[in-house]
Amino acid sequence: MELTKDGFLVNREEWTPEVAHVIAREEGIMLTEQHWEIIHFVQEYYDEYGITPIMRILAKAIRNRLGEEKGKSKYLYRLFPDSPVRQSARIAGLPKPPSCI
Amino acid sequence: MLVSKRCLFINRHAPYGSSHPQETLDMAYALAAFEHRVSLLFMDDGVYQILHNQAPAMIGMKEISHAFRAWEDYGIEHLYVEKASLEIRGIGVEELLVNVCLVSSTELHEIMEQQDFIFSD
Amino acid sequence: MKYTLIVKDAPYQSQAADTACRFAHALIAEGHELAQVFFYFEGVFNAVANAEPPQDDRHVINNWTKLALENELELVVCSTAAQRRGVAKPLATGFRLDTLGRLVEAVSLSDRVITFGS
Repeated sequence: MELTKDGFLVNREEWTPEVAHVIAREEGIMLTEQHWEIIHFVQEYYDEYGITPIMRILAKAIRNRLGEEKGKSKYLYRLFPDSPVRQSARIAGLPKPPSCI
Repeated sequence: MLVSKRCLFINRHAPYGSSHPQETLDMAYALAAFEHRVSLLFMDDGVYQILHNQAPAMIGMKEISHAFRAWEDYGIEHLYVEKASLEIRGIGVEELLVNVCLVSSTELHEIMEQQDFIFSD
Repeated sequence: MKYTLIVKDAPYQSQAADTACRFAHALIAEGHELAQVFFYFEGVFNAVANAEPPQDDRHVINNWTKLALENELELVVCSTAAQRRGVAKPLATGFRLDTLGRLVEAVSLSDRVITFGS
């Protein structure tokens, strides 16, 4: 599969759960149920709005839809220690989020 | 601590003639995400930005209109549309992809006067 | 009063960048404060290094550099808008790449936010 220089999938059609596992391993993450919930969330959000939101908006959107606990940045950083926005997008096969803010 | 300002973004351009609508949206969302009180106004050709059934992929452009539907997540206060701009173009409210607040040009003056800053695309 | 200026046109595309720069000088001369000049849209081209306009024309980019150096100002270039257009380091003296977050702060501090360009 083809990746951008930042390691994001060039063609999202090539994304499969197996691809997610490979990318997650590169990020040093072992995917659990909790990870998958967030990965599916960002995929659905992108399909719906065409946006990968910045951290505080991602947290708020998760809070509104999946509940208070899961929208806490502590929870999200436990799953994606380096950057919940970047790492979840990358594992989900989405484009690299804009660097602004 | 940031002082929150009231900002109105006036969108007057059709969506895909330039990348300005996309970048104006990014700016509005950034200000709104960080505590500023942001509203968006669509008037003139800007009303085409929120028309449903867009297919910009056919001309190799990224769809921006769906992003407007995330306005509540970003804490945008109001989406205004100037009534006359819709009427002149024969567009009905049911053809818009978001619920908006229709305003007359008189109401528009009042809304503008309430703002600290006005931005345009 | 405290001002933030947003520049949206490229240099030489229109008079907007020239006017913004003159406006900046004028407001400082009148005793006002300039919180920030933020370059967005095609305005990011004001930050390119190595522009060499004809000798008998004005040098828009050098005028910005002069403004920045004389007044210890921040000329902030939106990094996403710059990346989109391939405007990259090294930039002209006085300019720096930063995020929309800097504009968020400047707007918060300002009494007036004025946009130059279409």
